[in-house]
Amino acid sequence: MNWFDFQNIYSIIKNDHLCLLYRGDFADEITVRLIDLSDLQFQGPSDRINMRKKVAFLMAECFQNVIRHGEIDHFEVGLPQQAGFFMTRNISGDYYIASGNLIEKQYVTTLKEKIKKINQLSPVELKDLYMKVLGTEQLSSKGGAGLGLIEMARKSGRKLESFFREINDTLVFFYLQILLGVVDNNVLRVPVDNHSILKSVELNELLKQNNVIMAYQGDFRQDSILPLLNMINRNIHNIQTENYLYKTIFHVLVEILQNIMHHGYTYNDKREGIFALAVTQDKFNICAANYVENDKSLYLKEILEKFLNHSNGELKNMYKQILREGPRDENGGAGLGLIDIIRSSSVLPDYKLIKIDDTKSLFYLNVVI
Amino acid sequence: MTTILQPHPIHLIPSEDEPEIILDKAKNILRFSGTSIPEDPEKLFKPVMNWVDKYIKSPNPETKVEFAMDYYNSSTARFFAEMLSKFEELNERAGNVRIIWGCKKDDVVMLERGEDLQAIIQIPFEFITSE
Repeated sequence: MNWFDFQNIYSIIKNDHLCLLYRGDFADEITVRLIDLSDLQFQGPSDRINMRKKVAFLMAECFQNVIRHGEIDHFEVGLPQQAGFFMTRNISGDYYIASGNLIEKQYVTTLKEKIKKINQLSPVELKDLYMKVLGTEQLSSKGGAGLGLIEMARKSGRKLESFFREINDTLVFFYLQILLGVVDNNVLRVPVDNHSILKSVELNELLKQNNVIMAYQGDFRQDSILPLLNMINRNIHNIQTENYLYKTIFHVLVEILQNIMHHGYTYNDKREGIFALAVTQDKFNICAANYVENDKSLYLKEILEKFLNHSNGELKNMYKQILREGPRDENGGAGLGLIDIIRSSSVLPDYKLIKIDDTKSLFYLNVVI
Repeated sequence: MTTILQPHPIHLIPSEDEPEIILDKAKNILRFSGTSIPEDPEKLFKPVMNWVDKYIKSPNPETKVEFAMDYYNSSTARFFAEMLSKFEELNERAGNVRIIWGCKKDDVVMLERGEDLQAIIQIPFEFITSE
């Protein structure tokens, strides 16, 4: 992803406690992993258990929504860019969950009416409607009778947000966003600009322009890295069958994500960072950014400059030398991982180290494989 | 009479991020397989290094170190190199150490990793590729 778009995305999500953006395959295993990843936010007191369950439920419902109504295969209709979209953001304990998928234009009016109606009802009326639909209405061929929407509205206690973007004469990209707030459910809050559905649309547009299939912002620790790797693994397997390239991408990802985990700036016991994976027909692009302590930033700049100014042959020799002699110091593998990343790249990686304040700098790395 | 302390066998069960490691002197099995991207490589490999330190003091007549790794990260690579340099000492002193490097035929990455280690460690390597 280019630095400009990266900054645009970053400016929207930088204060999120967690942000997960995903475009692509919604197979069961992937959706389970997405829920796992979101679930990691809840390791605190048990009084949040209801919120935890609700978030998991609403995520699952959103996936169902994409799968059930997203049977229009974006590849088949010649719109490879219009992949299904999923987003979850935790902003100070408010959970925003959004999905997006192609639907046929003929359903738009009905859908808009359903959402409008649901948004006008009180919790009691919603419950009545739910029971009525459950008891009387037949399941449509798509397996849904608006029950999903009603359930989402009931669990959320807020208005459903929707947005319809016309793609062509017959297809529309339908966005749906729900909010699960920590405050009193009876108090309706107007979503501020940074969290409104239009921001989610903007995020998806930015991801789409850059062919990003996944982006994550949050704490980088082993139990968040593993579900990320697992999801990506599955996605790359679908796209890339050549073992060499597949392994190389996986390796670069592991090194980048674990680098953030081991060397990122720690604040409130968290190592926060952001990463995005983009896929085009013949290239994979990984970019990541995280804070590092200013001292580490100097070290990082020094070894990056050293490595970037050597040919692949020279790097191979340096790699062997470090492998043989170490040392395994507090700076990690003494740059082995960075050499691997540079050697795996098809063009020289681009990096930036920007001093933020007296203690930390922002480290941005962009790698193309 | 001096009693040499025999290292107790180690069998680490593989997980999503840790390899299977079997170090058993009595059965003469020293094997590493699977994936290694541990959260804390030091913690994972410290007992392994201690085991190897004890083993090279009273080795079997023949030592075969087997690798069948699917994937490992750069910090694991450093530990493998450090561990193999211990076996290198043993080989210089007593000989009869071999390294078996197994990987899939089309796994160029793991093959290269083996070759990198072969280039820096003075122990005979045998490469065994499977379909």
